[in-house]
Amino acid sequence: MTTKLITRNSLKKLMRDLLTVFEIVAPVQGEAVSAFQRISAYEEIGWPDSNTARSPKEFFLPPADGLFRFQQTGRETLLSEPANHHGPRIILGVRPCDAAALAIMDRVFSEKGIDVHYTALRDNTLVIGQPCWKPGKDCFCTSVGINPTASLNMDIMLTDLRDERFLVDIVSPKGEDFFSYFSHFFQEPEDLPRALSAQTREMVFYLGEDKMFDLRVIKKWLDNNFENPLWTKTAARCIGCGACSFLCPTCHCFDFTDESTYQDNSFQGLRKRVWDSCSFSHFTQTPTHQPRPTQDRRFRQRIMHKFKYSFDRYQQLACVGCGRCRSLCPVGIDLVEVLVSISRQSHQF
Amino acid sequence: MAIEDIIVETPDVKTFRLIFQERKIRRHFSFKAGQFGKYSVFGEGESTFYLASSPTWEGYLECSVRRASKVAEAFHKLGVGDRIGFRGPYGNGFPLPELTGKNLILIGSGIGIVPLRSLIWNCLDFRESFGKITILYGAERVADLVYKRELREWESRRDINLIRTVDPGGEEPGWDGRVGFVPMIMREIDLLPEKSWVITCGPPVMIKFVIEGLISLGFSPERIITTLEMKIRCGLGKCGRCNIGKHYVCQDGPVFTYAQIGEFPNEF
Repeated sequence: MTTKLITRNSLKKLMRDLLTVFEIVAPVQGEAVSAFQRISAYEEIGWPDSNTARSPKEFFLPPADGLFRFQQTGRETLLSEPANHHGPRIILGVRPCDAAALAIMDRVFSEKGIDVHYTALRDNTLVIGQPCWKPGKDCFCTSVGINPTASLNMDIMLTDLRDERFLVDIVSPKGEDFFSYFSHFFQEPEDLPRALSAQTREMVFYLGEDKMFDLRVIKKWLDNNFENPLWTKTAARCIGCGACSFLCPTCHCFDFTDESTYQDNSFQGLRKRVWDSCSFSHFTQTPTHQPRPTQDRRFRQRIMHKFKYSFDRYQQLACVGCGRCRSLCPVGIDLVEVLVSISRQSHQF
Repeated sequence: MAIEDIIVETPDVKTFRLIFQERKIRRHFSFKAGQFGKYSVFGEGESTFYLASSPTWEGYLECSVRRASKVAEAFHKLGVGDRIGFRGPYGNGFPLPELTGKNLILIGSGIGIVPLRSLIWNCLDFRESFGKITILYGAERVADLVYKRELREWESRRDINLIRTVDPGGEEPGWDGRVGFVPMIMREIDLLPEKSWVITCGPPVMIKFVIEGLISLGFSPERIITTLEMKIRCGLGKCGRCNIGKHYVCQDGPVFTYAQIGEFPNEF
């Protein structure tokens, strides 16, 4: 890993140049929530204190993504690529939790069969992340083993030194390639220790007792408690809206849908991949069979998948502690509360 | 693929004979009994159906579709010459090497006969490689029995023991098969666990009672094979729908032994 410095002015100039070549996506503060959006000027970047309300997932697994077009004239069927734009892209300001989520999605979409649509978007994107120095009110990344200041899974990490300069960690080969092309914008980090110590003094990342749980204890408990009153108790007020899945940076379940019209003597349309959620009753409903007929079973599936099944299959959790599901659940179901209670309950045995 | 022929099997099941338009694919396409395909009627969507024909039949595929979903409904409206989309084959299929040299007991009901039919014809093409073949097949009513023509053919063969049954009240004048639910009829015929493997496909409730019966008759869970009914979308282990425990039915299944299923979370 190489470390450089860049001044805010140089970064602005660099961005101006980059915007002529790349599509740039960055956090933007909207009227209600902060989210990643395509920007057209450096000034639009939001730089929120902690993670955005919406994760950057939608730029790799779009909520509705055209897979292929079809056109049927008489009995002839023509299939063609949709007009997706897969040009070079930079996604800026990704937090360590969301970068970890990308690594989780990478395994799902590349192991045991490559998903070309996801990998195309992933391969064309340079991930420039930033560390977190203070946890947001719903964050719990350190409880699931994520270091909020690490550059893991990013291509480059920018750290705001708050003296009009950014520390630049060049992490991946992709980041190196990028740097070698634009190296004239960067400086050597001569007074690095002083700059960093100013930062680290500020770093207070203690989450507090109420966010502490033991992952090993939870895994063991899940292994043995497929049936437990906790599921019904916790899911009693779940309305199955799926907000938690849609906001989650690792939830990747999807469905297909066809959109079609009849025009110019032919029947034409687009097959789309759309987000889905295990919280929805139709998710597993077949004409004759419904393995998860009640909301508590669907809730159990969600927790089991994140903290047990994903671990059993890929040796990784499917939770990065971003806290979005707890901050925006409309009925206040709190994942951390569930995990803490499992963890404490088990310790009593 | 193009539809070459349509056979009306029951009031709500049709079998479609399908041909790949590209000659190269037609020649090189291969699959195993118990695998499934994803079939598209463009504009309506995509659905999962077992490959109903035997892997040994060359030049075409068959799929039997029960009119039970939007896509199936659209399928039923198609005619000879119409085109559909196909991707596959997916899934693990039946473990033919393990079945070789054994007595086979195939138990199915309703549309559950579809994957069994592929396996049966596959085994009949290598008849000498298997021991006794017993088929127990039932449906709600006589009219609901799928593959009636083939049932007659299997019944007339000396190297197959076929038992047909319909649920009580489903019989009609002239019915010469049995009357009773599959799991009950199963107890009336002498099934011997020695050197036997059971393959059972059908609605989950039937499978549940069949397996309970088999265990009490002394069959080992390692030698009871079934196909899991789970909604399948992508077929690639990505869309999450058919997830059960650490498994994806579309990749690790749909064929599992009862011993494997015993390790799964109890969602059935």
